[in-house]
This record gives sequence, C-alpha cells and structure tokens, in this order.
Amino acid sequence: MRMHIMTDLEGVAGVCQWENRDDTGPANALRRQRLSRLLAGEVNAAIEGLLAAGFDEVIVNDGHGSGSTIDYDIADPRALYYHGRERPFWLPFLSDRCAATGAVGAHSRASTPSGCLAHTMSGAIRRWTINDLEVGETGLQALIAGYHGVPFIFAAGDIWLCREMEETVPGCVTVPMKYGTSKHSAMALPPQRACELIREGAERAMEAIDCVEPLALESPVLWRDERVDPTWDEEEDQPEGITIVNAHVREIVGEDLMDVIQKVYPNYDYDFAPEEWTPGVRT
Amino acid sequence: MKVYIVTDLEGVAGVTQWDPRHEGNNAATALARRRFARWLTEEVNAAARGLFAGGATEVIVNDGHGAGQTIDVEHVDPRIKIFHGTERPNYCTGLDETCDAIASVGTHAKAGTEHGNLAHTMGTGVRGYWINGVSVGETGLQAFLAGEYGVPYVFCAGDEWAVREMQQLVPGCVGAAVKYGTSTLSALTCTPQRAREIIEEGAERAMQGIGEVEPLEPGSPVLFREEHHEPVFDPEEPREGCRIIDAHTLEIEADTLKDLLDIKYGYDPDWTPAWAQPWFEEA
Repeated sequence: MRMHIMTDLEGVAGVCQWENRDDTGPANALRRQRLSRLLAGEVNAAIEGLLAAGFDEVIVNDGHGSGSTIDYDIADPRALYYHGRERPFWLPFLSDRCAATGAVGAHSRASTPSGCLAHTMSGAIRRWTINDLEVGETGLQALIAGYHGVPFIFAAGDIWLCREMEETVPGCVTVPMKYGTSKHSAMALPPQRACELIREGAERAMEAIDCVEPLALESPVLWRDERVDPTWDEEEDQPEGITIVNAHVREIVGEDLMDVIQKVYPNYDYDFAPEEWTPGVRT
Repeated sequence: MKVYIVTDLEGVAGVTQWDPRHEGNNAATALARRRFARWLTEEVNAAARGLFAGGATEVIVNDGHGAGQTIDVEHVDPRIKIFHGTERPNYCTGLDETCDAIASVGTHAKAGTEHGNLAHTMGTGVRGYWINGVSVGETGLQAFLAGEYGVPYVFCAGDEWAVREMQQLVPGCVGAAVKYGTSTLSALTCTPQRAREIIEEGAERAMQGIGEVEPLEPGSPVLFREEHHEPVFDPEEPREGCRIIDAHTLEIEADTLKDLLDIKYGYDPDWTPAWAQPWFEEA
C-alpha cells in the first residue's frame, strides 16, 4: 500500500517566520539548515507511523519553495522523495496507484484569521473556492487525490489547517503542531514532542482509509480565484472557460477538476505520466 | 584488476539542481556545495567498496565534475587514488590499456534526454555529440575511449535515464539507478544513504562484467560530430584539425578517438604520465 505525503514548511512545529531564500548570509544559511532538519524530523515521524500501521511504500513530495527543503542526510531511507523545480506537475506522483494521501508541515489557507503563516500558494491569492468548497493548498491536494479516487487521511500542521481539513474531509486524522495566534506568531510544541504526536497520528491514519471518502466534485467544476490586488483586465480576451468577474476575481469552468487545473496552470506538461519506479541495481 | 571511475555531480542522489559554483561567495552556496561534495564522495566510496569486494585491486577515480576537484579528499576511501584538478594533460588521464574496466558514478543523461534530471553534454549549449554516427553523452564518449584501449564499460550509477542510455549503448553493463528524473530540475530520488547501498551492490555485481561485456570500440577512423543550440562556430576561422560544417556544427576526424580528443581539446599528443612506474605498480 502506497502513501503519498505532501510537505510544506510553514506548518512545521518551531517555524513561525517565512523562509528567506534571498538572504545568502551565514546566519540565514544556518537558520535554513535548521528548518530543513525540523521538516525532515516531522517527515520521518510520519513515515515511521505509516510503516508501523502497514503501509509498505511512502512517496514524499518535497513541496516547499524551491522544492529541495527536506534534509536528505537524515530523511528516512525507506521512503522515496520527489524534489526539485520546474516540475512537469505539482503532484505528479499522486495518482490512482496511491492508497491514500496526507500532508506534513501544512499551513492554513489564505485569509485564515490567526493562521500562522496562512497563505495559498503565494501572497497574491485571497481566496479560492472550487464548486463552493473553500480550499487552500492542502484542500486542493485533497481534491486532486479525490479526482484519482484517493482519500486524504492525514494532516499535521497549524491547528487552523487541521480544522480546515477536518471540515473539508470529515474523518481524516489531524495532528496540531502549533496554535497560530497571528500571521507570525504561534504557541508551538518543541520538535521532539511534535514528532511523537505525528508518529502516533500517522499510525492511526491507516484506520481512516476505510471511513474517509475520496473528495468528489460535480461536473462542471467552477473555480473562483480571488486576488488580493487588482490583477485582471476585464477588457482583455480570455481563453475559453475563463471569465473575468472584476479586477480581483476570475472564474474558470471545466468538465472536471483536471480540466480546470489545466486552464489555471497551462504551463505544466500534462502528457507526462511517470512510470512505476524503484531505485535499484539494473542488469 | 584495475578499475577506472569517472565521476560527475548531476547524477548523485539528492542533487537535482546545478552546482551553484558560479553563484557567488556566500554561506548558502558554500553549505550547498559541501553537502553535494559529501554525497558524491560517499557514492564514490560505496562504488569502491563494491568494486574491491568484487575483485578489484586498484581503483582510480577521475574527479570529473566542473572544476575537477569536487570529491572531498578527506573522506574518500583510502584505497582509492584520485585524479583531480584543472588544466589536465589529456582527456581521462590515467585511462589506458592497463585498466580492466571503466565505470561512472553520479552519471546524468545526455543532452536532449526528455525527462533526464540535469541532462546535458559538457555544457548546456551542446545539442549533441556523435561518434561515427552514434549519439553519445559524456559517459558514452568515455566508454568509447575506454573501448579503444580494449577496456569495457561495466557500471553506471546515476539517474535512471543515464542508466538506460548506457545499457542501450553497452549491453551487459550494470546500472545503479538512484533517481528518476522527471524534468531538468526535478526527480524522484532515494536518500543518499540508500543510494550508497544500491551503488555498492551494483558495483560488486559489475565486476563480473569484466571478460563478459564487450569493449565499446569506436573503430578507425573516428568521426566526431558536435552540434550546438546557438551559432558558436565561425566558418571564417577554421580550427586546426576540425571541419566547421555550419555555425552550429563541428566535425573532427582522426585515426583514433584519443588523437581526436587531443585535437579537440588541444592536448599534447605525446604526453605520458611521469608517475607511471613504479608508484602505481606497488598497488
């Protein structure tokens, strides 16, 4: 049984400031090393729990920022890690070959009051709704999983993200790592305790497989994309399926979720489907 | 039994981005480069352990990446001899008919490989190399040079796409696939730790290829063709020994591949290593 884990940095216990990738000085370099270590610790704890529960394969998507945040020197060697930039798709290894999916280091969606480092993709987005379901990055991940018939069963991160996912996917197991009190503050667990709780939660998540329904969307799918700043020109011609409601809001309509995603993110290589791959000796 | 290993960085597990060696003198770059160097060094050590276990008595490592001194000499297996540095006297110094096999570690796919992680041939401007009409990357070129000395290419550790490329070019060589490229800057990877186990196992197995795998002989004369994406050659300024076909394309023909590479890189064809005996014979 294969589990797919999406990772992010902002929901990791002990993180309450944005990562700065532009500051190349020694203080920030050391700080970023620590962030990578903290994230890897939480990922390892999740892998430990998942394998103990009976999953036999874990694919971890190193999802934060430039896509190489997990510290691979301490990452659990029993998992595979998808990393790097300019990917053919956001989640190319989340497919119907996965039994379930979950998230580690997850933060709440944009505009969440008190959500620690709350955002959706970038600071530009104010709100996303897909067929009236309000989603952030983790909600979108759960929808993509649902498109493939895969249930979202586990989330570790800010308590506001946990509540968000409990509402979006009833029955999924959540593990709050911190209690966000504002964008840049939180009451947090120290890493050791955080990892204990993740391990326990991930192990329990296996039981959720049978009671969590993969998220399904009615056709057609309508994605409402609201921006913080005026972004779109109402006079400008749009590709089919995209309507500019006003300078802050556009709506994208498609047959199903992937059809809409292709319109929102036209630059991915949607023809790419990775082969089944395991590392090893080839003769 | 003497085995010659050529190393590169782009096929090392955990590395998905280009070496940031030109990105300035700062802490972030220094830490990233140290980590890459350590991962490469440990893969080289793993390969050496496997080769020695498989019957090798001498392992020479050509530190092939970039400025030619990427391997961390303080942590390298003491049984290895390292050839490193810039302004080298010839191509693949120390590779000759006294070797019993050639291998590569940290191998990336050739330029133009669709999903190859960090796929390239020498520089990113090169569209392709051909030896007597056969498309090759850096590693294929080295396998041909070894073949000219009667030395078989027996082992490829690196990206899945590099392994496939080399197994197609040299049937019977053993691969150790430690990552699966999905685009130039992304890959599914195992951890560096697991990669070392796979490489050690594969390298030991590869020793059985000596006497079995056919050396990749280029024949004589040898025609080399090099194509670039951008117009880089000036037909008005011919280079000695070279034919400029057009602004994108250069050809060189010579009796042997060794002669050809001496012409291509301007090496002294009469250079022979002063170290030769008895220093190497004691091993």
